[in-house]
Amino acid sequence: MDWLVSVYPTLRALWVLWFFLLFVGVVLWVMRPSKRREYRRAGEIPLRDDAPPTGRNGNA
Amino acid sequence: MAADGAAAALAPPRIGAGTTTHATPYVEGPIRAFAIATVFWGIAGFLMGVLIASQLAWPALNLGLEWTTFGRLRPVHTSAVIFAFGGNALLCTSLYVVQRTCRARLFGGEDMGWFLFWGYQFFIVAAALGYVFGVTQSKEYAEPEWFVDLWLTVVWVAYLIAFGGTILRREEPHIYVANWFFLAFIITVAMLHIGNNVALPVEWGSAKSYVVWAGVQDAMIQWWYGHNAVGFFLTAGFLGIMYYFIPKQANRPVYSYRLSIVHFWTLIFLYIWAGPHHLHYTALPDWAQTLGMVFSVMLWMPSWGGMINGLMTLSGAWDKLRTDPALRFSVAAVGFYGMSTFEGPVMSIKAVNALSHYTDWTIGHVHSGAMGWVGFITFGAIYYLVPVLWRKPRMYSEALISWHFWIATLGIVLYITAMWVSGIMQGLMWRAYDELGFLQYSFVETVSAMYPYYVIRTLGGVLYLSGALIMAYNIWMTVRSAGVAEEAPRAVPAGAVAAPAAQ
Repeated sequence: MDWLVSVYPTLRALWVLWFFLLFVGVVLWVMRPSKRREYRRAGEIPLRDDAPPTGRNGNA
Repeated sequence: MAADGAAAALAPPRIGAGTTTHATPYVEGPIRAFAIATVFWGIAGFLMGVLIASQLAWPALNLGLEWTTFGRLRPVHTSAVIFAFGGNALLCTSLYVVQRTCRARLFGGEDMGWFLFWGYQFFIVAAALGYVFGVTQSKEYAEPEWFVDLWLTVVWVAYLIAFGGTILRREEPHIYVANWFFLAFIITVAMLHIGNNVALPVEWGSAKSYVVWAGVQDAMIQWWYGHNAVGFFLTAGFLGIMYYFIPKQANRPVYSYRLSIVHFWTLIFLYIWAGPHHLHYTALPDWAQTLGMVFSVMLWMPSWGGMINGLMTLSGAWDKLRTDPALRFSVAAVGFYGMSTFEGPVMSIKAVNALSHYTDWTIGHVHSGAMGWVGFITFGAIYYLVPVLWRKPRMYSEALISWHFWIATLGIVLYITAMWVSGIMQGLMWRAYDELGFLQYSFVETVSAMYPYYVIRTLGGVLYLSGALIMAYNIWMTVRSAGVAEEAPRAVPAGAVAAPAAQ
């Protein structure tokens, strides 16, 4: 218990640090330039949804 | 409204016989029904709001009957606007969007759609009857008793299966961001609904139940539910609407798809921790209150990231706002979203909350979010969807959409300014001391000071309701109009007339 109390401030700081790193990681992952074309296509999905599906995935 | 008239309106639009092979492969009947239900429950909910606002200004309107008191009608209003109006809007748009953006027919087909529709309407009616007759549990925004909760769980799981199943059979490799928001909304609401409603009936077969959680744990779970109802029902779900319908209406892709991904994950991650700000200065431990406050303040970032993403989608196409009043609704909605998600974090700060909590300021804040963001983004989507779903070239009257927009906007402005003044005045009066340390005002003095603002608020509500009635008329005339979309060749009247004779 005493040990836990003694490491508590460190763990608390690490918790904040871990979330900060996670956030930075997410942003870097999303921003990587190699995905530019893919994201542009993804963003255009609503604009080209008028063509009906082909039905090859079992759609009626 | 005649029943057969409504049935005729729900039937697939009659298009020329030559076009039947081009009929949409998507499920649309239940979605048309959800659109009508959205408008119907919206008007019912706004009407209830006007009624209870009037009751606050003129208490005689409680009528001295237990069924019509403010205490029983207030949940009728909140549930009607949140779960009936908002819920039908979300079911309508999510089932429409998931099919289009996945290029897949709804999992479970028409039957699933109709089960969701009638199952959800049954939940609404059962809940509302419970409120009026006093069969409720005392949890705000979760008032229905256990048997109604169980029924909603069944419908909601079916909704998840239908939505998730459609995503699984998609032909489009990428899952469009709107569907992420819709899916997060469906899953989280299921989790919140079950977590907050773990209750035991007092005896076998009794309608009365008590929740399993007790004391401050119950309070925390209630506001974990309550605030995430705002975060995932009224925000994440409607952001799904924003990410599909604003690009559609502006005819350009969302400003930054990358920002939409960061928006999604940060919003989802932060919102779930913000609930404790409803329990500042209560028995809840201080660290939990501070945690709730910190996460609420951090929420400002993803909220504004999303707002910028929505607004900037219009960049280079701002002129469309002048010519397309439906788009004006959607964009004004995003503006209100930015405003109320700025106000919210400010109010979650403990020092501000000490003044604002339990006052009308909170009510004003909720309504700038509910009427401005949720209401307007829904109206924008409905004005886009009605001509599409009923195969009409456009809405019956663009001018009436404009009238709706300005009347409703004026209504919101009256409502929230009245509540700001009244709420801050109320908070200041409650905390005013005289030189001897006694409270300066009795409670009833603060109540009578509210009177003029309650009247202004009621007027704002009347304007908002009037706008919705204009919308209903406009939709009715659109559905009844003869025009068929897709211009000349497919709309040749001769083909349409000849078809029955040929069969």
